[in-house]
Amino acid sequence: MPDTSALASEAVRFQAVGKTFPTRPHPLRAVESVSFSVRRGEFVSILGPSGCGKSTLLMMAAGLETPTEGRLERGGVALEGPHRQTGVMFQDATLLPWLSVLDNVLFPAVIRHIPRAKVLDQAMRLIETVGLKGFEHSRPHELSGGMRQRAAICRALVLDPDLLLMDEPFSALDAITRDEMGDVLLDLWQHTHKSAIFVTHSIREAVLLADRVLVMSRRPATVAEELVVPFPRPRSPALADTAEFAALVAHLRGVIARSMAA
Amino acid sequence: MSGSALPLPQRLPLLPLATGLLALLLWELLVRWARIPNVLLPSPGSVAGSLWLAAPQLAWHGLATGGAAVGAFVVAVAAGLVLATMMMLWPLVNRLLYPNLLLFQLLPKVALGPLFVVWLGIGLPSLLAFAVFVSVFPVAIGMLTGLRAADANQVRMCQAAGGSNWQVFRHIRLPTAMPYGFAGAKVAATMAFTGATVGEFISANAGLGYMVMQAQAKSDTPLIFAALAVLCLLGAGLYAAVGVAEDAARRRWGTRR
Repeated sequence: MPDTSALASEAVRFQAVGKTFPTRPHPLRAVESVSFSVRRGEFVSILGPSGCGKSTLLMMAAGLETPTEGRLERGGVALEGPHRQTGVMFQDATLLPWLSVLDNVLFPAVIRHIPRAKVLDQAMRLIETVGLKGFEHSRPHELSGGMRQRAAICRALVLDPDLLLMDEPFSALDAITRDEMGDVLLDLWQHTHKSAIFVTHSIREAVLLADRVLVMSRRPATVAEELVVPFPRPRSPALADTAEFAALVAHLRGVIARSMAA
Repeated sequence: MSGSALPLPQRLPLLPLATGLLALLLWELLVRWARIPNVLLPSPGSVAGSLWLAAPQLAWHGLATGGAAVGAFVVAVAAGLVLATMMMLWPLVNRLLYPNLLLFQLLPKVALGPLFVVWLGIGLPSLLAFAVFVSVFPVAIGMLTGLRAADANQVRMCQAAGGSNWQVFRHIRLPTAMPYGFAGAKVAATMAFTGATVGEFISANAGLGYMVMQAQAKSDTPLIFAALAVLCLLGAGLYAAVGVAEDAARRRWGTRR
């Protein structure tokens, strides 16, 4: 099969995608006609209130949920199920408690039947990059929440995917650890230039990390507003302390308030 | 059922051993002081005498009971694991079987013993079938509970990595279910001996249960106690073997906190 994904300039494309869950007594309309695409190497943040359906959007991109309407493309091809070149991070680190940190990081290779020796170097490099060197053989319960999410980042990246999907990955962490993880991710992503969709309800995170921010409406989720983040890369966490950054955050807060009122 | 809360065997069982010895001593003294007849309650000393005198018989019948119980236990664990796996992987099998399994679990299964004699006659086949029957449920239900207890987020993570149903089962559900499975197997170890002994009460011409009935007919109470002592030892042995297997499995595949 020719690798058509190399030809497409878009990593992901949502075309009028909708999703209704067949719940009883009333079906739940989670996503309403969402259209957007993520270019190769682009970092897109999806900002919205809790329970607005933005996670559903991400789970569809991960191939874990099927759209009930519209079309979802991955690298120019219709997406049918989880994609080998996609790494996913969840709200919870979802590490397997019976495996060491290293074995957790290598887990996707086990599932894809890739020999351990082939990915071991990559795994060790990632573990070192996120500052977990020395904890390879620890069990998840021996780690702090932030360290667990660092291991989860390594796991999402271990097969060197070209798209990283993140579903509020830091929402379970305390505020300080959370900012710290945002910085780790910023640093990591700027060195790899992968495409990314980052779902969050933190405006700071969204703006600091993204090239583009999509603000979602209340459920059913639609794209209420799209905003290009003008700050050049590479960015440093100090960017968040500038007046321009604060202004953009304030602007976004206003946009969100309007989209909530609508 | 919480599989992880089971206590590990204590490394130095000195204190419980001391309690046991003290109880035996008090028992001996009580029997001597109150001049309780041997038929009613034999002293530990006379039980020990019976153990010594009837040692060859006890060993022979113990082997029969132990063999039947261990055989039934192995079959019950295998069948329980297969049942639980099928119910987990195929929803239809689950809907067909699970409510019935629960119903059987509620039943006083030992009471069904005579039916096995009706169907399979007196002898080893009915004995084994009965022992398997009483011990398969804790394994099947424990294992199924464990397989279902798998964390939904971990299942999603595995699916997102491209995991098939079988891989989710193998890499997420099975490790989660391990402590539950062992807890079920420990109950099954006890139930297999219960089943074998009760089976021997009603339909055997060998085994410790048969020996107890014979001794009772001859009013040889010390021999009843001696047979029961051997039974306890055998039961504890199988239970301990399951414990050792669990420790080994935990060391090999890691502990679930």
